[in-house]
Amino acid sequence: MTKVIGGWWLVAGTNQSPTTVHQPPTTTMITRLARKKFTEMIRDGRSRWVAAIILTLLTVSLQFRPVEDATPFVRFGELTAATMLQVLWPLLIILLGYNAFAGEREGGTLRQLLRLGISKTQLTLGKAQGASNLVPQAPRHVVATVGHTF
Amino acid sequence: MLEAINLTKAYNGTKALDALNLKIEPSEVFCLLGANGAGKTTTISLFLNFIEPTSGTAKIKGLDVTTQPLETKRHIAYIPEQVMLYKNLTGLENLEYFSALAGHDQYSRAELLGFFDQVGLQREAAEKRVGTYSKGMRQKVGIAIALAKQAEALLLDEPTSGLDPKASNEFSELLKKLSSKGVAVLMATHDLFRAKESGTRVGMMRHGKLMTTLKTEEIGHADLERIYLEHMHD
Repeated sequence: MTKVIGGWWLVAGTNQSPTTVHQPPTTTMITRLARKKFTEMIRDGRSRWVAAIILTLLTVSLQFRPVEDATPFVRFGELTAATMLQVLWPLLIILLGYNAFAGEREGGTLRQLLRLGISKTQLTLGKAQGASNLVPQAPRHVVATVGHTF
Repeated sequence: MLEAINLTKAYNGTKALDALNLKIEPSEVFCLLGANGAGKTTTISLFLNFIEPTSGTAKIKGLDVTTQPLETKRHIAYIPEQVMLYKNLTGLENLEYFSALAGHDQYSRAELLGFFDQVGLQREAAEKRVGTYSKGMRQKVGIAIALAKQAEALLLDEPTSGLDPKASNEFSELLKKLSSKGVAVLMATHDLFRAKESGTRVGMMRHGKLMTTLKTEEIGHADLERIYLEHMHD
């Protein structure tokens, strides 16, 4: 078990003062939390489905001519690219973010995290940032441009 | 390193832990033995500050865990009976993430894999998502996370549950090595054999009280079992 790299820490450990506890700056920590949250969201099967649905609707909406195809249902919102981005994109974020804490608590990983000695504030900020990565600045301009074109 | 002073925890008047006095020095491996509900897990949870003591104090490196919860947690690593990980991430990503949050974001990939070698997790497995892992493999990732934290004290609650005999033997060896480096270990276990093998002292608990402590070098395997059964008798 300890033949090759096995003992490296034990060797390295001797040079290290046992009282030093490294604590990276809060911002690094938050970025780390955010990055992991993002990776997890990308790998989550549900988020892929939702993204696929939104993309499909977005494609459909680009073919759609409001004036020609108008029906009484138009009062519920037009099927335009702008509506898609304005209404469904935030929904996607809510869908992916709602279990940021509840999910960790249920999976038991929340305790594991708090055991490490990180504060709840850092955890919250990191998660918020991770979710907000899904709302880059670009879509807003896309909404504006696409909205005016169609 | 770890110190309990008259540590007491009562749930609705029932004492889960009754005036525990215990001091674990660096390099010591203290094994807590006792039936279910004897107060072993309660003791560990109190050190982790997951529950508030009814009276008494738990100290890590001389710091009270209730007044300095974040600081004290940085000195310890904990391995629970059921290690909980992120299913969508691989074993390696889990290790990397938890180590980084514990303040060790300097590890290279080879170093992280080195921790898995130490705990006996195959390299191919390290690249797979944790959702596909068996309990023993998750346990190994938990041990690797604790190792990577380079803590001065380890709190272990049935850490070898779900490990095969070989892995569990390797874990004992790892504990011995850590203790020779000055790490203090508090381990709750049901495994008398392991307690004798890797422990320097054993403590027997019953109904929240620490009945007796023994040095493992002074007793044999058979004696330990006999003494244990004597104490567990009503």
